[in-house]
Amino acid sequence: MSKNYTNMDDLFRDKFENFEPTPPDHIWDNIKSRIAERQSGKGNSGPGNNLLLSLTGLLVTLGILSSFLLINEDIPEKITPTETFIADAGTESLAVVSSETETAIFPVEATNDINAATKADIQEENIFQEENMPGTSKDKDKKKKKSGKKKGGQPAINPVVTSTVPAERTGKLSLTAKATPLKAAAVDTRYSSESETVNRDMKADNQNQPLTSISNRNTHDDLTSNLSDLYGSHNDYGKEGEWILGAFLTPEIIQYPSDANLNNYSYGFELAAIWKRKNFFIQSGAGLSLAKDQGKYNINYNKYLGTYEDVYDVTFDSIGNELVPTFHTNMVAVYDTVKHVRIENTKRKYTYINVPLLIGYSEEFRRFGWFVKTGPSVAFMIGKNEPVASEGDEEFRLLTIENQLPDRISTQWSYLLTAGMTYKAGNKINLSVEPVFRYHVNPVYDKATLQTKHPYSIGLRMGLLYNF
Amino acid sequence: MYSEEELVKRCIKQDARAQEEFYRRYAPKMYGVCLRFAKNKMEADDILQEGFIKVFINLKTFRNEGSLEGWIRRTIVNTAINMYKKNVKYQQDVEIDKADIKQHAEMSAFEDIAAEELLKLIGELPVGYKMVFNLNIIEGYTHKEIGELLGVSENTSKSQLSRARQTLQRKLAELQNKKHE
Repeated sequence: MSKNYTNMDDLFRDKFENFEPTPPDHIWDNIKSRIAERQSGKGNSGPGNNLLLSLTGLLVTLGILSSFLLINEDIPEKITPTETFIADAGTESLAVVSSETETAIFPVEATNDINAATKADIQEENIFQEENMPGTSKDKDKKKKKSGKKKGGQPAINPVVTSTVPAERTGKLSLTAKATPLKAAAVDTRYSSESETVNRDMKADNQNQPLTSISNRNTHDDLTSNLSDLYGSHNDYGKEGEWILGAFLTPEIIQYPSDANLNNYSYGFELAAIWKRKNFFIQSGAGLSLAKDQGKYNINYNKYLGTYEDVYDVTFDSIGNELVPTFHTNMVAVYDTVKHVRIENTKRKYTYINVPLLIGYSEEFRRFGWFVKTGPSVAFMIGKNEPVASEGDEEFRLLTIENQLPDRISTQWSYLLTAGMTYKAGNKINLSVEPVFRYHVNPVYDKATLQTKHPYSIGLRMGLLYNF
Repeated sequence: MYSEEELVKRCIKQDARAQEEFYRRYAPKMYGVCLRFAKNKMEADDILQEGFIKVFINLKTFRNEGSLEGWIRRTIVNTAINMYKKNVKYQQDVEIDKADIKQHAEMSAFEDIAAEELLKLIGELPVGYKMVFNLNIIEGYTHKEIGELLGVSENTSKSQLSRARQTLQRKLAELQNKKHE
């Protein structure tokens, strides 16, 4: 059919109206696989993300394990929680005996004449002589320990603590030490200063009375607290690590390399616990972050032009000799057929809980210090406010509302790298400021076209640190 | 073969057969749109693919108040615009060129011209001209809307349309001459 086109625009419109070329088959194959992938992973997971999840889980586990090992690094390996506290009646010496036979034994004399170096050299066999004395609880303990070893092939864990306190002079039980040889205490009693403390306490309580035996069954925790009672504060035993509590405020801007329109801001508040040993530290905690997006709707509509009365029925009545028609009508609104578009901007708000796990290194010079830290962080969306497009003042017939900004995904993994400075503002208070670089391991938005380019964010974290 | 409404419902329920039927029904027409907007066939394939993925994802938001085909078309056009914006780093605002916006009245000579030939002519336009021409002349967007969608001023949109028309008229004349030779 030939047509006479009055202008070029009509020519193009008409020719393209029924232009329907066949797309290549591979497009549908790609679409099908992408949809299937999305359905199986609900949009933000997949084989890659499972791997990511596993890796992060591994990292977190390693972090926890590392911190546990660091905390326990001070404790000599060979000393087990089961130890026997012995006060030798003959020599008035106090010794700590481990359940393991090869464990070093550190006697402590209950006199003021202390020569820790020589006291610590008391031979293992001497101790066994004491332990082998018939009728004492030590003998029983030893048997228990031996049987425990045979059964398990491991040193027996026996929380029996024996303090031998002869009550010959008083005729009654004279308990001095609640007998709590902890691992750390056992080590520290090698040194004369601690030994002196112990012995002075012992003497003060016992007034040099010979010790008889008494057995107390205590748990390891009891032993710990008892030792604290006996020895006083642990501060003297060397502080190998310290705990720091931090509160941080972090404004961030997220850059999306794939689409400049997706840049957005977030503000985070985080409480963190930091365990620091020498120059290294581990930091974790939880924080709330508020993110804002510029949402955009494309609203397609037809304009309202007016109304007309649509006659849907006519009835006739006879009035006198005349037939009078009655028109039954409906009011019908009229809209144009042009597809108009209106752009509506909205503010969207999201709330996340962040859980980072960072390791770092720090140095201090007088009041100032610097540090670097890095590690993974996971954020869980806990709230969102996405306003819907408004109806507008103008009367119109709504065709479609297209959301131009993709939805955010609910779980985000990112990797943090920060470096900053601290300032010692008080005895226990430090201020810190640190630029933060965050690489988002998975995209912030659930947008298929943005899966390959990862966003990153830059922020400035300001913090207040409290040293315990 | 499902009715349009039934097809949409089934696609929302992730019925694979319905999704394929949906695609087969609308893809050819949308591919024509993609070819007009894209700078080459490969880009057209990408637009169609990403556009249809968006369509399937957002199909649940489709209200039956308007035409489904129109809704799909707008999604495809928006995908093309996003692709264009990603590729265009810098766009200069230009003054409206009022030199020659009159149209040649006689177009009857082109009644037998094929859409593929017109597509080729559009494909030879500079990318900005092509976007504005497609959006305004074929898709019916106003200059204000085009300005908002592309992030340019209304004047730039008008100017680019004017130049696109001039270029196309010249090319059409050349094509006409070739045919007469």
